[in-house]
Amino acid sequence: MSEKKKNSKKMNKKMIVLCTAAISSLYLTAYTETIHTSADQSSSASHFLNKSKVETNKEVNESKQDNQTNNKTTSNQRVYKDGVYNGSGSNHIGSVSVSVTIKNGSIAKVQITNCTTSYSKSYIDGLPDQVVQRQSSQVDVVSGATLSTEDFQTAVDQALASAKA
Amino acid sequence: MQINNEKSSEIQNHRSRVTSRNDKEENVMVKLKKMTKAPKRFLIASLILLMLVGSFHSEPLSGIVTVLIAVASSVMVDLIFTISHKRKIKFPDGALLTGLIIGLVLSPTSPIYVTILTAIIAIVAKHNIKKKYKPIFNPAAFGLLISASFFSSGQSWWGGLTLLPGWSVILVVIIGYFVANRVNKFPQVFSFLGIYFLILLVFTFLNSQYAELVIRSPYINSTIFLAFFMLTDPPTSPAKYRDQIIFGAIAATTSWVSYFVFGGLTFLLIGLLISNGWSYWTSYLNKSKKRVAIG
Repeated sequence: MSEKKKNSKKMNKKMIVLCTAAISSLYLTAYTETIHTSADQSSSASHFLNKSKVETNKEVNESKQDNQTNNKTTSNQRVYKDGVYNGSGSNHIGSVSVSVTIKNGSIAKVQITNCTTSYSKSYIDGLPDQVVQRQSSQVDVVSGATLSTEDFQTAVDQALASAKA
Repeated sequence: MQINNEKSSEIQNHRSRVTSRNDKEENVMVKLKKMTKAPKRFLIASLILLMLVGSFHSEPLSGIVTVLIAVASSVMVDLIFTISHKRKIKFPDGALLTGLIIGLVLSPTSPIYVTILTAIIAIVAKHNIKKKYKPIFNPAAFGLLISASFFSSGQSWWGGLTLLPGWSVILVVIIGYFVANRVNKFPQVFSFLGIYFLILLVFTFLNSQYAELVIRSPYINSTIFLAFFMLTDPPTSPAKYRDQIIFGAIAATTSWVSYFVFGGLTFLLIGLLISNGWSYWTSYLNKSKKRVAIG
């Protein structure tokens, strides 16, 4: 009987408020800390990007002249073999599998065949069309689903690598 | 005189009709109150509310359809078990709850067969892995873990409002507080969230990339959803406050361990199932101790 009474006794309201405040402060401290670190990382990354952009611009200018003559001959060559190719990309949040259809040497269709990431597949539903339009795996990063986008890119890259002539 | 009599009888009839209608309305209210007073029914009502709010995303019907399929499959399989074991057929609130949780965790884009299989596995586990009449493991968590491991089922935890803007997690917390209060599981929830966030804070200071992921949506929503709506399941978790605190601590710690070992989606489910196992083990040890003391 006394045990039943003990079990039916409810937690003190003051205790509930106190625990809520303690847990919230733990979460908020962790959250603000991640914001600081990600801001630091992004600023260093943007600095690196700016630097590398300058370097790549130089390289591009130098190689432009050489490429102009080569491009005329390679633009008509087929890059990929026709067929359907599969690829998958995975990281800590799960994996994404795709099938890439090549017709007449170019990307005709991209399908997400499996998505087991923590983020819903609907987040990255627009990416296959971008690959077809741009004829490249370089798609826009979906905000809030960066890792799913990375998985998708890796999967497309893998499929395209096996499709290369 | 006759006219007066007719009038008075008409008035009496009218009064009796009104009072019977009032009685009926009162009965309905009492029934509704009774229905929602039972912890399981209250939890069901809360989950339905989350389902309706969570449906305000790009494809509202797909989520509800997933829930309906999961609920129908769970109730059907539960009914088969009830009939085959020749038990009294009653309102299948347990199966309904399992189906609701499965539907709210599985991605709305999941194939129908995956939803059905997940529900079947959950109810089969509920009726076969049990101690007397109580399941050892949370049926929904068990079904979801198996389906994620073998069928690569997508789990979006949309019941935790992962498909809505980040601030909507506050609503999950508010509804969750009512549920935790009704089932008297606050110590368990606080112990789980406290230790979970404490570990998260440690990894944040260590500049771990894993902490950066877990602190945001959809991970934070799924953590809150699990803490308030799955961890608090009365048959698979302890009642005593001291045990509740240990239960929550085990769930939080093992969740983090499985996150580092396996990654992906299932780490919270693994943590919950391990703590379910611990709860069963301690109750088994206590009973055997009592038997020895009596003997």
